[in-house]
Amino acid sequence: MTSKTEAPQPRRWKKSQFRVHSRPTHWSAEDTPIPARHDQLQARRWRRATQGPNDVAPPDAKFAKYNVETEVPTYDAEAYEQHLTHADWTKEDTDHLFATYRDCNGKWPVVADHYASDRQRSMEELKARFYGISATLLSLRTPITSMTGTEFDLYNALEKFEPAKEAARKRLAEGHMQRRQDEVDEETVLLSELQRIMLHQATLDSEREDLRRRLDHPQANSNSYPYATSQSLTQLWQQLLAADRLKKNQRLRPTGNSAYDFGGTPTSARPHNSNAGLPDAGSRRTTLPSATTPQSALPVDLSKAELSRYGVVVGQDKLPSGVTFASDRLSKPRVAKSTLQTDKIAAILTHAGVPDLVPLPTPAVIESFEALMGKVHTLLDLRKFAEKEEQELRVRLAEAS
Amino acid sequence: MASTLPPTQPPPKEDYGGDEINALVLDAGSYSIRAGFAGEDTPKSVVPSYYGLTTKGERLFGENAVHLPRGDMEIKNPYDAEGVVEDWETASRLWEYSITSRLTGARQTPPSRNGLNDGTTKDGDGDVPVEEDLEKMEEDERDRSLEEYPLLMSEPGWNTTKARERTIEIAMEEWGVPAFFLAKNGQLAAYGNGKATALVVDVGHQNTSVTAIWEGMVLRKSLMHSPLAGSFLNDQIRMMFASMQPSVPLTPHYMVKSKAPVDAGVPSAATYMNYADPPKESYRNLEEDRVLTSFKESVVQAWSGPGRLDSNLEAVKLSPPRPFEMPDGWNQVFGAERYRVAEAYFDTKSAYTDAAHPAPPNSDDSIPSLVHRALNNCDVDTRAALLGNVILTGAGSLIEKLPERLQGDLQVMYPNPRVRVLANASSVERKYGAWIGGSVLASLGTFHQMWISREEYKEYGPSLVEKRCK
Repeated sequence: MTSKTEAPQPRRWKKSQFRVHSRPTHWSAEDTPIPARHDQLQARRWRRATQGPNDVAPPDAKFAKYNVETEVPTYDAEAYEQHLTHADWTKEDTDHLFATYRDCNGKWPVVADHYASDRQRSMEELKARFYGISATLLSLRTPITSMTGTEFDLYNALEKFEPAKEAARKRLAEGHMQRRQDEVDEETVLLSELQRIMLHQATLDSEREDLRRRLDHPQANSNSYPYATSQSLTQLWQQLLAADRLKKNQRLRPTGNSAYDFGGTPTSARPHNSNAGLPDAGSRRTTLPSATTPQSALPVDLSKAELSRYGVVVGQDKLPSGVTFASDRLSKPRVAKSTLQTDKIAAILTHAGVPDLVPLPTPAVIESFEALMGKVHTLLDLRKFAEKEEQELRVRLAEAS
Repeated sequence: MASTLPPTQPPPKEDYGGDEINALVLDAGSYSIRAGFAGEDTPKSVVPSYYGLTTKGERLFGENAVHLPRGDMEIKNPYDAEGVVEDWETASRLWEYSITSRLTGARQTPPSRNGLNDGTTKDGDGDVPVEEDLEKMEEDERDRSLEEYPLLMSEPGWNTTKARERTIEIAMEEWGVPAFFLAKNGQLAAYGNGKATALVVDVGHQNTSVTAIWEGMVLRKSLMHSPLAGSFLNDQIRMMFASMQPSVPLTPHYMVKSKAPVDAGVPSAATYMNYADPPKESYRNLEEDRVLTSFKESVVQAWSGPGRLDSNLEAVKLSPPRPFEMPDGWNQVFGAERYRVAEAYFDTKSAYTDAAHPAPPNSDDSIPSLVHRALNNCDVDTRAALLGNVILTGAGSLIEKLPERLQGDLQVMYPNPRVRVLANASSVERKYGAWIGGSVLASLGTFHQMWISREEYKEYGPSLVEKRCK
């Protein structure tokens, strides 16, 4: 009831959301000069209104730098008469050529197009005349002897222009332009063939290169990594080992292979590793002497039965210095100081049935051989003693008789 | 060419070469006159070059006046068949009209005619002198409106020296422009397409022209033009209509009062207008041309190749025909004919002939042969570059598949160098190609050094135009 009696509220006028808050900028059309013009032509440009009347923006000289003119050599009548006369050319024609050249900014196709004279002249004639005059004027200004490098190059280029050659080239170009469709097709096919060959060539080359790299002999590169070769590594091992021996608690264990542990043994006795020069991780492990065969030859832990079974003998006796051969133990005892003695030993051994070369010299055989040899020596000693006694007995018998 | 920016994004300050000084660009042709301010993308004012001349001697300009059926009006064109101005008096008025009617604002009506002073006695107590000479006032107003803006005008490449001097005289002395420049159509079209080196093929109304541009400059010897253009195509269509069985009646819009739907090929059932004072023959021609324009826009197509139309008649017959309805309701489908009318651009022997045009046009006038002749007059070294930048422009080039056909024909003629025909897909860019180029040129900061100023004109006279506008 009450709501019906209420008069409708007038809608409040809402301010537009799209109101522009900034104040409009004032622009004004001003007559401004055009830079790089010789006259007083004014251009009307729209500019942002300036604050004060004396605060006038400077004219935009940005485009003035493009107002360039082609450099054209100039000559006067006197110079023309002296140096530049030509049988085919009058002075008017020459002047016209130079004016046209300037007007066309030195674009030769345009110059040849715009050059109008009674005589029909080709572009080559125009060029020859223009270049000839330019060269002459250049040499007049600076004699050839005192020209700088660039000047002389320019002079040379101008002098060397040959209209006949140029005309011949244009004839060729024209012929090339007017080729028939089948010739063009042929060229296209040949070009694509060449392209294919070259592509193939490139892949072939890269493959070949790859192969060559694989096959290439390794180069010892001592600069980047000093211990790249097995030789240098062995040397390092020997140095460290020698230093280690002097210390109280030794950290390095000799490999047991004298070739690695002691210097002076030629390393070339080892099999040559072709990969030794490559500084990759795998090859370094294989070249470390301690990790390979010498250590695995040592008896690690074998039971007595196994020792006897495999014939492993641990040598307790100290080896003499210098080179010794294991076979010496078989051959040395046979040789005595005198040949007579040696013959006697050989006679005893032959008698006992021992061959000159023991077929299977196992440690047991050697041991019994040595025992035998001890007995042989004892026998020899006894024989010598017996002979001596017999000799003395005969002497006493002769004295007694 | 630099990468194109979206139109909303201004170019960076250092790249921006524009310097807008409110220059006017006037591209006057024999079909329409395009005018507008430099820096805009389309001309604001497009006025037909045809004008009405009443028996009283009054000239009527503008689309609205020209297409009004009036018995006392003759339709005329100030341009001759070459596209060069013949009637200077009218041409200058027409140009002026194209600028002042839309661009510089309407003239103020003189106080004696504006209705505010009606009923008052002769120059009563007002502060405005009503009694001024009307003629004089109009003259004053006219002069003032054009005095502010530099004017860039276009001209056909084969314009005579006399005509060029007359043009600058009109601009400087009658209109009092502060600065003036005259550029060739082809040059402007190339600039509009962003090319400094190009071979411009401009298919207009009266003439088709070929212009070679080398690094921004016109190669004059390459300039070729032929009458095989839009107007020629209109004639071809008329002859084609006449040659068809039964012949096609061409009735312009103004003749028709009302029309009723009829079947294809059946005579129309329209009622026609009866004019007490019937319009003149020239008016009928103009109106017929409007119908033909719509026919060209919707039906005519160039055979896109390969080969000529003669050797592809079978393929053409298979393509679907297109219907066209005349303003009076008569309608028909057009099959092979729609290809044949445009074929004469490329193969003049296939052109339609009749009693008024007994012989087909000279085979030298076809577009490919124009290009060939133009290129022969250029240096060999330039030809490959020019063939790579063939710009097709002009409203006459808007015939469907015309660019493809031109490309094909040129490639057959020159198998070796790469031929590329550039035809802007937008019809506006093609129609107003030269104007757009002028708009670009006149808003460039570097161009302002080239204007012929009033001062220079006063010093050297009209012959300056030959020296400066190459």
